[in-house]
Amino acid sequence: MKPSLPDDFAELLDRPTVRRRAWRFILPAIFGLLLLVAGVTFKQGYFVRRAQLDFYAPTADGVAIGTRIKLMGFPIGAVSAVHFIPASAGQARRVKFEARIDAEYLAHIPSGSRARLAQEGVIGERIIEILPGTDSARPMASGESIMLATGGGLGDLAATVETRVLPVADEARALLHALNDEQGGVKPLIADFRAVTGDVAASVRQAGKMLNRVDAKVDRILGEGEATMKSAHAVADSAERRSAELLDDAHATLKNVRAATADGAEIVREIRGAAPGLIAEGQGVASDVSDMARGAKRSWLMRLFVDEPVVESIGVDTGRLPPTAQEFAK
Amino acid sequence: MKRAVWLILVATLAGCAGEKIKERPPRAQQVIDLGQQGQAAYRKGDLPRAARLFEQALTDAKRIEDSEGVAVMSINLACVSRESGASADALKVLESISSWHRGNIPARTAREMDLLATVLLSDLDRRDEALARLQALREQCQAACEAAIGIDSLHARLMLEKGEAGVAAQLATSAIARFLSHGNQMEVANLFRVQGEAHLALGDFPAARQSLENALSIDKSLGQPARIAQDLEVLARAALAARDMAAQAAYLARLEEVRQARAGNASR
Repeated sequence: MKPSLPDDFAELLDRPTVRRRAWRFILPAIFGLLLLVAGVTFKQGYFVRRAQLDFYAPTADGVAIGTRIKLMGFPIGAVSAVHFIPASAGQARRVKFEARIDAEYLAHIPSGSRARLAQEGVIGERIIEILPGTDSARPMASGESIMLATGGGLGDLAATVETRVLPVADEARALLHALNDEQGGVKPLIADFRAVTGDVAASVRQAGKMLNRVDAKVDRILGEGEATMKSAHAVADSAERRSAELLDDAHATLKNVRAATADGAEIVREIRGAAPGLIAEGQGVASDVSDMARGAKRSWLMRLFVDEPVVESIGVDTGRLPPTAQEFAK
Repeated sequence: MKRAVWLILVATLAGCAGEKIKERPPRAQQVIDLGQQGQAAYRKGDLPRAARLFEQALTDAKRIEDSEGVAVMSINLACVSRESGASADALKVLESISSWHRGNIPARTAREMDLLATVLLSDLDRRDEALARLQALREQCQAACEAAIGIDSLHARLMLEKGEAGVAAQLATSAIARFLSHGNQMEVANLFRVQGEAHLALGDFPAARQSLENALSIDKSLGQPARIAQDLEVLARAALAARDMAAQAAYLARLEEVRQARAGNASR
């Protein structure tokens, strides 16, 4: 049943003057609403011509839908979809990120460009930064793909260094310690061996000289040489017995160090690619923080709480000179 | 509400009228930064790194003719050299400051420098020179001068080293009474140590142990391993003099533990 208006109200609405007055309010409201919608859609970039670029990475760590894409510091788009790509012939599992980017910037992205995952400041959001290739290459077209290096930020780098590079140093230190150990290490064995080989060389030199002069003495000299060689063998045997265990340790350590060094080299190679960016990023952050701190310190309220940095001495201690740690140790 | 608005307005105007933070040229800032890094290294006990940083800061300060920077970094470098056992080198650092810079150093820093030079002279067994300098310093320094406690402490120590234990004990006791509550705690510990050693020399073993325990307690609160070891060593001597062999053994065991920990830290 159709609801009915009271007779006098219906009659009032039917009057042409009232209708005209009502429209005077309704039309500007509709116009304003349309303007608002247009403004929002423009701001959201619905009127911008979009192109698609695909990024491939070994992992989706740090990237999500909405992750912004930057070219030389300009925001040019964002990730719109993430797909898992299963392993295929000759290709490992990968992740594909589809990104909608502003088409006008395509002209500034030469083919062969690469991308890396960066972070805006130490605590800033993750972004994908396109690293343009050579300018002579043709510009990329919509739908083409770029390899994305997902090397982490400074925090990840620090963690990597801590967990993978530092053990190398420890292993190397242990090996050096074993090699330098005066008591039971490799050093005395080498010293023994040098002494013995020195004797042998001297004996042989001596034998050579004598051979040229006195044939009669040859046998005796050779006998001496033989004896010296025997002594060398004896020392070598003893060295072998004494050092078997130690050398096993050293060998194992060396193997570890070698493996760790290979890891380290790989890490360094990985890092090297990202390092200039990370350093620039770190410097940027430091500079930002420094500027912020400087600005904040200049504000009158902060001035009341922040001490101005001054040149300070560490303070004179008039007490009798205590023995240094080394002197104490002696 | 009206009162709050007025308060904010007054505070804002006062803040705007306040002194502006001085903007330093980058090189002058560099001297401060290096100095602060050096202090951090010194606090961690990394003396070689601290020395390098102070030396670099000193060079930078000389480059821009920053006399205060030159004086302070020279003091810091000399302190580090002294702790490393090179008092002669430390004295050379202080003596190499040019007369032009000396003329531009604030009075407080100049007094600190003179006091350090006096301490270094005493390290090098040049006690008479040190005492003469100390006298001159005392004349410059008023009753409330910040170097007063250091002057008293050094004076007491020099008298003790000259064999005048009674004078040393008296000087130390009067300085402790003056500075115990508000003086530089490191110097208060030095005064207690000198007092303890003076009592020990005078044969008053209980008083000696009491003073040395006070010194040890302050040094522990300041986290000074070298001074802690020094206190324990003198305490062991005091216990031996009092024929308290059990206490002596306990002090020596503690000393050994501190010694080993320090040696381990130094070799790392």
